[in-house]
Amino acid sequence: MLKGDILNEPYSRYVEVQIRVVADQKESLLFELGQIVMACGFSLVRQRMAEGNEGVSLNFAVRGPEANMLELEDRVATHRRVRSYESMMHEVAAPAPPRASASTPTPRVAQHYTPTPSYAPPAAYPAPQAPPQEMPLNGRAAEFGNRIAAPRPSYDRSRLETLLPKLAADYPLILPRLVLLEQEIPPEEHDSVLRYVGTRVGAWVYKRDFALGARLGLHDAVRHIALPAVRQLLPADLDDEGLHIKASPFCGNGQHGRSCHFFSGFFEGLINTSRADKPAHVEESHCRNSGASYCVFVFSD
Amino acid sequence: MNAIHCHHNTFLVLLSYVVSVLGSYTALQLAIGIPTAKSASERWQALIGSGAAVGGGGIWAMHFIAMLACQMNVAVTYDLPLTAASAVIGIAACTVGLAVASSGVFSWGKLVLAGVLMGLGVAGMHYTGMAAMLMPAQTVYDPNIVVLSVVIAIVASIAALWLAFNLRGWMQLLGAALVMGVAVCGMHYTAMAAAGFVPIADASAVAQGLHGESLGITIFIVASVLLFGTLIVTMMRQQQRTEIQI
Repeated sequence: MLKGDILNEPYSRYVEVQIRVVADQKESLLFELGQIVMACGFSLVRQRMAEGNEGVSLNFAVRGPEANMLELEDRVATHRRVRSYESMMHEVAAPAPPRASASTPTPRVAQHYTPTPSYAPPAAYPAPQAPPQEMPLNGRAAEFGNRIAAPRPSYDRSRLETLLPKLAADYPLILPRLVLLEQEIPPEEHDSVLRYVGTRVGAWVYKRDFALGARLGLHDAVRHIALPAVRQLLPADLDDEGLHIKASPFCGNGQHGRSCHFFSGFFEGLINTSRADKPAHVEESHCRNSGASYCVFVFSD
Repeated sequence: MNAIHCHHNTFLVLLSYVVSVLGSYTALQLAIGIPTAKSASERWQALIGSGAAVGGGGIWAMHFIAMLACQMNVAVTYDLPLTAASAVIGIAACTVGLAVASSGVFSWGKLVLAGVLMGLGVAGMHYTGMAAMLMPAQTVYDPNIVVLSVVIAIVASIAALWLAFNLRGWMQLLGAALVMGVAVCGMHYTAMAAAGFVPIADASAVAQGLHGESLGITIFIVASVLLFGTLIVTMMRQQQRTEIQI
C-alpha cells in the first residue's frame, strides 16, 4: 500500500512569511486570504487584525514551501480587497527531516504597493518547537451523527458545539476556521478534537449531498463520496495508493508527525454514515508535515 | 385491406421524452428518502412515491403522450380497466426494482435484477397499454423487434439504475433521469416499430372506450402534476438540505 518514493522525493525549502495587508473592510478578509494561503500550500501560523485610520490592517505569518512563495505573493497582493501589501520571508526548518541553514530574514516589499512605515516585523522569530512524540491515531468512530458516538475530545465540548454550526454555515470555506481551531487547542489534543470535528462535518456533508443511492462498497465509496467531497475543500486525487491531498493547511504548523486529523475524521464521517454496521478506518499513511510531498490517506474495513 | 399506418407528431414525441425524464427526475428526488428512512414504513413510502413517479409519470404518462403522437386514420379509444392496469404494472415493477436496487450494499447482481424488473415493467406497461387500444384494426407484432424492444428497456434501465445508485453528484440525478428517458422512449418507439395494424370490419368496440380527447386531458393533468411535483419536490429537497443538523 505504501510506496517509498514519496518520502524519498527532494524536500522543498520551507519558509515563514510575515505578511501585512491593508484593506477597507475586515469582514471575511481573513477567510478569503486564508483560502489563498491554503490553496498555495501554506499554513497560517498566527494573525492579528487591527483597525486604524488607514483602514483594516491584517498582519499574519504563514509557513510553507518556498517554491510556492511567488504564487502566494501574487495572489494575496492582487486580491481585490487588498489595498497595500508587504511581506518579509525567512527560511525555517522543513517539518521533517529538519533542514539546517536558517537564513537571515529577507525583507520583501512589493514595490508597486504602498509600504507602511509603521510596520515593524518582529526582530526574531520563535525557534521551532521540539517535535513532540508522534501520536497514535485515535480510535475510529463507531457511530455517526445521531447513530454514531464519535470519540469525545477533552477540549471544551460546548465550544465545539458552537463552532460546528459556523462550519456548516461557511461550508465549504471552513479550512481557515479549522486552522484557527488547531492553533487554539493544545497539541496533544489535535488528534482527538480535529478528528471529532472532521467526523461530524463528514457525516453532515454525507447527509446533505451524498445520501441518495445505494450503500457502496469501500472502494466505490472512496471514489464516489470521499473524493468529490474533499474536492469541495481543496484539490485532491485518488490512485491505488490512496487519496492524496497536496496542500493540507494543517501541515507546516511547527509540529512534527501526522497532522491532518481533521481529514481522517472527515473521511470516516462521510463513508461510515452510510455503513454504520461495517465502519471503515481511515489512516494518514504519509503526511507533508512529516516530510512527504503530499498527504496520503488509506482506507480499510 | 390496406394496413393502417401510424404517423408520429414530432412535438408530442419530444414531449413524451421530456415527460419521461421529468418523471424519472422526480422519482430520484423522492428516492433520497429511501436510504435516509428511519423505519420500514418510511422506506416503503419513499419507495412507492418514487415508483409512482417513475412508473406513473415517467412511463405511463409518456406512453400515452406517445400514443397521442401516433396519428392513425382510424378512430381509437382505450379500454379503461386495461389502461389502469398498465399504470399499475408500471408503478409496481418500478417500485420493486427500486427496492431491490436500494437494498443493502450495491452489487451488480442486484443491479441486473432490478434492471430486469424495471425493464419488464416498462415493456409490460407498454404492451398492456397497447392491448387497451380499441379500434377497427388488429395489432400484429414482429417478434424479433418485440424482443429487441424488451432488451432495450432492460439494458437502459440497468444503465439508469447504475447511474442513480452507484454514482453521486449531478451526473447521478441528471444522468439517470436522461438515461431512463432513453430507456422508456427507446423501448416504446422500438415496440411501435414492431406493431402493424390490420383493419377489421368490426368497429363496435370503439364506442365503449376512453376517447382520445379524454385521454389528452388526462395526460395533460398528469404532465402538469408531474411538472408541479418536480418543482415542489426539488424545493422541498433544498429546504431539507439546509435543515440538516451538523
